[in-house]
Amino acid sequence: METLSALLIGVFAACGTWLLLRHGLFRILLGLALLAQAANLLVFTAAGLGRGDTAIIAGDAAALPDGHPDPLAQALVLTAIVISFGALAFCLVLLKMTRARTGTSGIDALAKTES
Amino acid sequence: MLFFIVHALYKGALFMVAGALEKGTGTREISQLRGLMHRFPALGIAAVAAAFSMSGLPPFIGFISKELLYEVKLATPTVGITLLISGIAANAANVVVALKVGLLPFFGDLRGDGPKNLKPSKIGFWIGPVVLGIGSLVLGLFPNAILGKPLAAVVAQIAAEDVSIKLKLWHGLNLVLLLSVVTVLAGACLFLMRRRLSRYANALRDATRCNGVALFRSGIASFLNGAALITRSIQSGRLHHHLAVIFSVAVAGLVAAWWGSGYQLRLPSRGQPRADVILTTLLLITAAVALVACRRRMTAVLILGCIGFGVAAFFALHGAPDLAITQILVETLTLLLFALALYGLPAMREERRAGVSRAMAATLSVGVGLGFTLLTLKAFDIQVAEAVSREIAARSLPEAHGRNVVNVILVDFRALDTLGEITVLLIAALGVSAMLGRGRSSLSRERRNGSPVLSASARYTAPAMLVFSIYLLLRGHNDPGGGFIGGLVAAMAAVLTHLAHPSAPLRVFALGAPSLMVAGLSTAALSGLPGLITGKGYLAALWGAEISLPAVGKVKFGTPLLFDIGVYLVVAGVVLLLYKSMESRRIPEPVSPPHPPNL
Repeated sequence: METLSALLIGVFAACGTWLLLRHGLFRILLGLALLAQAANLLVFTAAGLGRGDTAIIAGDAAALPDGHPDPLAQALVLTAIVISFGALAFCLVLLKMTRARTGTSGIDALAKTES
Repeated sequence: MLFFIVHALYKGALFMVAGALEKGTGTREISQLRGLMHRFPALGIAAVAAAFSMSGLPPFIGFISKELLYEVKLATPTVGITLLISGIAANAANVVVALKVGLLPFFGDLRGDGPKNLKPSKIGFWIGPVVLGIGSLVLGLFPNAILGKPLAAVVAQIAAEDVSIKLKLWHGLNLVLLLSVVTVLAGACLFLMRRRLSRYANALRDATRCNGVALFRSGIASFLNGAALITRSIQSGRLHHHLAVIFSVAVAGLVAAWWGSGYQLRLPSRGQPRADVILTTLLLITAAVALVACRRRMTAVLILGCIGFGVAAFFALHGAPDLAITQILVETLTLLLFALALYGLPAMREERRAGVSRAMAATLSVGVGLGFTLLTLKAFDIQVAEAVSREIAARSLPEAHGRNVVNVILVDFRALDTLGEITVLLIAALGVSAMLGRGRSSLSRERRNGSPVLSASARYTAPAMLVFSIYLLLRGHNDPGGGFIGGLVAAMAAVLTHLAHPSAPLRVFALGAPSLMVAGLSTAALSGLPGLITGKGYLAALWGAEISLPAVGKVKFGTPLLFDIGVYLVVAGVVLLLYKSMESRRIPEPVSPPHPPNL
């Protein structure tokens, strides 16, 4: 399972990189989003994948059972999801402003502009 | 650390003396300043003290600092001797400079051709250097009593262990003291011979036509040229090239690390294959490839949403309900924001052939992808120390009274991280808002009334969502939920209302986005104060009574709950602000004139 997950992360990262390197601003945004997903999944997977148990202590138990998923990695990823949402929204506004002011989202056309 | 203090004391004093002298005499030419001790006694004393400290004469603090340096150099076997010699030379030069600036202006005869209109300096001019000069002396006399503890605290932070520091003025007769004596003597000799040396230097300059200043300037200039050359070759000003450089370096570093480590790849073989996980993963891989191949923007956005929901399913299948819920909510909002961003923008052809060459991009993409895969696989092999999460999981219920360990980490054990994070989120939202400025709602202009279906459903669902968000917030400590999830749901209730009734104000609990953010961040930040006051440390949890609420169950009140409420408010406010900014269509006037159409 972990190997498959590692493969998935690799595919996400590769596709994200391709989008970043090959296309205009809009697709760069998509690439960033994909890379963010890859990074989140990397942290999540690296802590070990659970078998479906949650990191919630059952009503009659005092502690998590053995083999529980890593709650710390989950906490890290939870905040990372929200942060990458904020960053993506920021970039989206940047894109919108750029389009509105210059009429293009082509990177190389932007390089020629002054503002 | 000690050297910073020493330097601050003597440099500060000497600079202030120089300034005061310039004010008082109207000149900075050191050759014209002589015998000023009678006119400016306080400045003179301060300058002499600073000069002695700079020269490393006892009993000033500079002496201790210099002794320590020599000691370290003596203790270092190989490079120590080179350092020691250069250190002695530099310190001797220091002595010369110190004596020249500290002593010369104040002693000797008042020259006839010196500055005439001497103004007595005011207290403001001499109090500063005097304090610093006396500081050098006092610290030198009682170094351990004053500096011992603060220095030890700083060093302990760096060395990550407890360090006791013994600063002493008198170390006894030893090699270090001998070196100090040599240094001071050499400096004094050089000082006395300064006129002759200066003549030699002039002669040398005339003979070789190169002097120190010109050499220094040309050195700096060629350094800058070299830097510019490197910058031009790596940073072409084109984004794709910058990105390519960054990715190339990352991949190259990875390859180098792989080469050097001799790491054997081992596939982790844990757990049984699960059909649901395999299906989700294959779906996600397909979607990622489809995203790359897709040409239409709206389709691409939808595929991105599909990936987000797939990832949420992935989290859910691996026992992370909090993550799955957060991911679903965030993905919904992302879709909404993307749709708003695309809405109304003219369909414009993207540059198809932008970016670096196909082969280059393919190589780098595969490299980065492989890197991520290997990193993940490698991560299973590494176990540097006992996982901290084991400890956290064990302490969660007895110490933090929470069954949902993820939430306990967020609002209690690692609350400071979360506080920093909601601040970052808030700053991102403010940045968005600042870029777009205040605008009128576009939806409200175009259609006063939303769709009847949406309107009718929003009337009933939005209040229910708001109540549900509070429920999620309160139960978060024991079950999936918490401030992040609750805040997202609350914001979505408001967004839903606004989509249905575009003229209605965008509010949660009658609070607009800025008030929500301010209230939330203050609540979160203030919830740390009780811990600070009781001496347990900032954001340390304090618990109160446990109350049984209908539907929610038992809720234990305490500062972490307060903190989670702060998170809830900030997240709701940030999402509202982002939505409002994206939804408003007004674009501020360009700062520069519109660009010619040939772009």
